[in-house]
Formats: sequence, structure tokens, C-alpha cells
Amino acid sequence: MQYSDPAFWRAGAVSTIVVMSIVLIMLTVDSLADISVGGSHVPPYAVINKKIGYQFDEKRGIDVPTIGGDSPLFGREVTEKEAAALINKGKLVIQSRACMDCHTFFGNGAYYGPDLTKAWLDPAWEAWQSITGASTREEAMVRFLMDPVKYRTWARTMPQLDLSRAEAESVVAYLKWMSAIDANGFPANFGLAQTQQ
Amino acid sequence: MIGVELLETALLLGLFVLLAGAYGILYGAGKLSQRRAILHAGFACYGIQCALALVVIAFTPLAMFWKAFIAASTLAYLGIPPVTWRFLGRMH
Amino acid sequence: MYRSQRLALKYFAAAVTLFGIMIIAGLMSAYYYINPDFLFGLLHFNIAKILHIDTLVIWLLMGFMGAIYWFLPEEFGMEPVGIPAAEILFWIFCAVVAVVAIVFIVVQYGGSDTAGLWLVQQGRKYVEAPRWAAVGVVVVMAVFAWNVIGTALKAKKITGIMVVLIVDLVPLIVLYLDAFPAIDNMSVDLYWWWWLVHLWVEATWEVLIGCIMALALMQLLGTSRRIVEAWLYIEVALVLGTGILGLGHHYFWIGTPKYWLAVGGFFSAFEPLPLLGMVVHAVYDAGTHHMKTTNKPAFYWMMAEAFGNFIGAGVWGFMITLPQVNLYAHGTQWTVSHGHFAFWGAYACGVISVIYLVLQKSRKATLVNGARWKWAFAALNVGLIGMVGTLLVAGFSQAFIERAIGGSTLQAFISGQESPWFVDSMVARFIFGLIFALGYVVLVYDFLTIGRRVAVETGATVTA
Repeated sequence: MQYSDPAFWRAGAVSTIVVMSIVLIMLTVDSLADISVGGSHVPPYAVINKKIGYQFDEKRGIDVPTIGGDSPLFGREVTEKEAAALINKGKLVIQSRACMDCHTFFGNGAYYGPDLTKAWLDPAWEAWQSITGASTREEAMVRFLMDPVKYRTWARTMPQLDLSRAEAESVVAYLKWMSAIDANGFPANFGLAQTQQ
Repeated sequence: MIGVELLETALLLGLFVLLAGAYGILYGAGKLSQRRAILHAGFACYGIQCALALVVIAFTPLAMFWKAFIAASTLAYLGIPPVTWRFLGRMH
Repeated sequence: MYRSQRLALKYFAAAVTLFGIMIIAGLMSAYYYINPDFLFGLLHFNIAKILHIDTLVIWLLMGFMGAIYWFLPEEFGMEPVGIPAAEILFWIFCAVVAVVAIVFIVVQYGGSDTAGLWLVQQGRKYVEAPRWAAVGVVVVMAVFAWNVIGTALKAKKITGIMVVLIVDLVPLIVLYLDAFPAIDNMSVDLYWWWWLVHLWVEATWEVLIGCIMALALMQLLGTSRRIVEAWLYIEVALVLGTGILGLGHHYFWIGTPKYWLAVGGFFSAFEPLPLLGMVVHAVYDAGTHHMKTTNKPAFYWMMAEAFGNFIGAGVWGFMITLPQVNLYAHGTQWTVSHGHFAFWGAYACGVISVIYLVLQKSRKATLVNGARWKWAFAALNVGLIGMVGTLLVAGFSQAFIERAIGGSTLQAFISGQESPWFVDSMVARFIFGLIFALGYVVLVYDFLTIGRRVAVETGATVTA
């Protein structure tokens, strides 16, 4: 009986792998178009010049990022190229300090610190503006990042990572850009605490 | 999905697969020991798995697509222990 | 003993050592949750975690390599090609790991520039090691592949198991190349990162451990080659048939198109089915051999592999894989619970099983049993299940409080972390981690002593 012949199953394994791999490659090509900068899910870097929001979309049934009017970071309007340079620096800072090994990005990473997907939109920054004596959200974020021990948030203190001003600003730019990525509704109900039903 | 529903649904799904495992183990143990009581215990576990599938379908807020998936996979789980056992018997 | 087999023993020694370091780093990581001021200003959570997860990857990889180096000469009936080079690379591999670990501990962070990426820290989970070390890993794996392929060419013959292994080594090495790029766009970065992480631990590694288990089963239970080969092909077909597109269960929330929720969830939800088949197979093997074997620990650890894989990867994974649940469970201690259980069941138990088998062969012990392995088996599994259970409770409360109710803000995060269920779970998890560590100590002692021949005055030999 052919079922007892390993060659039968070998053929099955080979054909399964080939078919699945081809489908994966096709879906990858399609997905990369959507997740590349400027694609349907990922905005151009210059979105950091705009006001970012996160709202429930009735049609899609999930929370989606919104891009509003002008709201340049640190009052400085940047070109796409300048924004790209900021984002590039920000990512290098994030990698060099291994942020992913305390925090999560789109839920990926470590779970000791909070998820940073929508950190730019966190309501807590309002309080941190007065705590750090900053006049804008981004300024509060920069001051926090440069001295997280002085401006500690709670018992689990974020350590001093020796960020320069430029590095801190680039991280803030990165977080702002990242918050504008359409992640199919993750995290759900951000900033809207639910009453227990 | 709200808080309690989330935990309930996840637990039901986990138990669903766990019972498939219990069915598989007891099926095998029943075949080995040639004791029908153990084999029947295995099928009883599968029965509970089916019941769990029905609870998932009837009471959880999962989308229709996933409920259909659960229903279809319940059938698939039925076949795995006997098919595997028969195959192993033939090969050895 | 072939030279390749002596190398295998070295790899096992290194693997078990790194397993120990992993446990120390794990205990540290767990302790921060209990005392957040632990080593503050000196060494923080992220460094301990890096040490924990990176040694995890390397100790298992070294375990796989040790197993292959052991079985290789027996598969081909000759000393494998290039072992002298492999021996040198073993020491280089160990040195690289040591240097990287020391730099992580002492230097911790590099500059936010290319030099930092090359010399100190890349900061991408599991592949934080600087690029110079990643080059070293590629070289080690390339020589490893040459040891296998070159031997096949020289021997002018091949077995089915070796064909599967060789074919598997190609994507294994190619996928690791994602350890190098630093991509600005987080969505694209994560897209490719998951090709490496998922297609390693839920695809190529599964094939690798499948090959190793096939080789081990032939010796442990005397199973025929025809059977293990057929089973290997079936397993490969089912695991990769579900796992290749099951990769999509990491593509729900990283900015990728919505169809990944359906594709990824669908194939991922099928992943437990082949694992159930493995459990049934394990029951068959256990029963038909009446649990009789000349190597009890190897046999029991192999059983643990089948059951741990099914429950840890299958059951635990199924709980969180459907997108509607995953939206809330994603990126919480629930994930950690699943990860610990899955890695343990799918890989660690298998490697430990093979080490026992190899120790029996290398020490030429006719029978391997005793009390010590049972204590190690019990403590390690009780410790692991305890950690997993407490992490599940923590994960439930975190998903419930932080995500479902709190909306995932900083305040929601803090509320989740400070809830009594969470706090108590972290303490309990640490205690179970200590039990696990104790089990490890007993395991090592057992590895060092089991099966050793002790000559008695009468001339009769007694195995310990």
C-alpha cells in the first residue's frame, strides 16, 4: 500500500511546502506594498508635521489612526527627507538602547514597560507637561526621555539611558510617526477605559 | 469583546484542544490495553469537546468564520487518533 | 568514538552550561518584577532579559548541533568531513558568546550609529547580538552545514533523514540573515523579523528536532528507519503545511493588511492538529514497548517532548491565536506563558532526551536509570508548569485590566501590573523558577554521573 512507502509522504511534504511557500511569497509582495512608507497602512514620515488621532471607524468596526491639520513637532515643519533622517536616527536610538527588551512595539518585544504603539497619544503626557515644566507634549516627552529617573512614572523606574537632546527628539518623532500606522485596531479602545459590563 | 467574555472564550478554546488531547491519549491507551472502558472514556472526552464547541458557537462573540472553523475542526479532531493509530499499526 | 562524536559531547557541555546561565538570567528577570529597584543603575531588566532569551536560542541550537554531530558518523558510516574545522569553530563560538554576553553586561549600549550595531548592541529581540557576532554565527552554521553536506557527498550515499536535514539547513541559515539589517520602518522591520523568529521556531527548528527525534528513536526504541522516515515526512508536511502560513498569526497588528487576520488565524489554528498526532504516536510507542527501555530518562523526556509540545504550543497557542482574543492577549504575560511552555515542550525536553541517549552510548552503559533523573524530571517539569500557570494568571489579569477594560494606556498598564492577581503571580512565578533551577542542578549532577562505569574489586562493573 502506498501509505507505507515513505516516498509517498515525501512527495506530500514537498508539494505542501512548495504550495504554502508560493502563497507566502505572493502575500508578502502584496503586503510589502501596503506597509512600505506611503503605503495604505503606513504614512509618509512627514506625517509628523500633522496632528495624529485615533478614532473608532464605524465602517471598519475598529479604531484607526486619523491625520489632521498642521501640528509640527517642536514647532519645526520638516520635509519628507528631513523627517526620514529623524526617523532613521530614532530607530537607531531605539535599537542601540534595546528598548524592545523592556517595551513592546505593536505588542512585540518585552512586557516590563508599557506598549509604545500609541505612546505619542497617551493621555498621561498632559500631566507630564506640568511635571517637566514643558509647554508641549513633545517637549515633555524629550525631558522625560533625557531624565526618566527624575521624572519617574511609577515604581518601575525607567533607567537613565544617556540620550542626547537630538536622540530624544528623534525618538519622539519616531513615536509620533509610529502612532499613525494603521494596525488593524491594535490597541483596542486606546484611552477609552471601559466600564465593566 | 469585553473583559469577562475574553477570558471565557479563551478558556473554552484552550479546553477544547486539551480535551482533544485527552481523547487522543485515552483512545491510544484503550487500544493498547484492549479495555473498552478506557476507549469509551476517550470518546466521552471527545463528546465533551463537541459540547465545548457548541458552547463556543452559541455563546461566544467570535465571528461566524471562526465558529464555522471550530465546527469543522471538531470533525477533524475526531479522525486524528483513529487514523494515526491505524497508520502506526500498518507501518509497524 | 568518532571525532565528530567527541565534538558532540563538547557541544552538549556548552549547551547545558548556557542553559544554566539562561536560568540565572531568567531568575533575575523574574526578580525585577518583585523588586524593581534590583541592581538599579547597574544592570536593568532589558539586559537580563537579553541574556535570558539569547542563551535560550543558543543553548538549544548547540543542543541540536551536538545531536547531529553525534548521529552524523553513524548515519554515513564514516568520520564526517571537516570536523577539525568544526572543532576550532566550536571554541570560537563559545568565545563569541562569552564576549557578547560580557559586553552586554558591562557596556550595555553602544552609540545610535552603525558602529554601535556592529560592536555592541542591535536591540532587536533574540538577535540583539552585535553584527560582528552575527557574522560568527553564520560562519559556524555554514561550517556545520558543510560537515553534513560534505560528508554526504564524500560517502556517495544519503538517507531520507539526512536529505530532510540538509534541505532544512538552507532556510535555517538564510533566515538568520535577518539578524543584520536595521530597517527604519517598524512595520517592515517586524515583517521580516518574524520570518526569522517564526520560521525558525515554528518551522525549520521543528524539522530539525524532527530529524533528531527520528535518529534518536531508532536507537532508543529500535524503530525501523522506514517508519521514522515516513513519520518524519508526514510531520514535516503537517507542521510546515500549517506553520508557513501560520506565520500570519504574527501579522495581525504590525500594520499589515487585514487579510492576515483570516489567513494567519486560520492556519495557526490548525497547528495543534499535527501535535495531537505526535501525542498519539507517543502513546503508541510507550504502550507497545510497555515503557520498557534501556534508557528510562531518555524515554521519559521524549514523552515529555510530545506532551509538552502539544499542551504548550498547541493548547496554550490555540487559546490566544484567534484574532478577536489575540487583540487583547497580544503582548502580555499570556504570551510569556505560552512561550515558556512551547519552547520547553517543543525543544528543551527533546534536547535533554537526546543528551541522555548520547551519554548512555558514550559511556557504554547497558542500562540507564536511577532516582536522580526522576528528581530532576519532576522538579524541572513542576517548576516549568508552575511558572506557566502563574504567568497565565498574570496574563489573564493583564489582558483583562490593561487591554480589555483599560484601553492599553500607560495608566491601564500600571493598573494591570499593580493588580493583586498580577503581583502575587509574579511572586509565585519566581518561586517556581527556583524549583526549576533546583531541578537544573540535579539534572547537571545526573548528566555528570549517570551511566558511568564503576569497577569493583571483584572485577564486576556496576553502573551508577
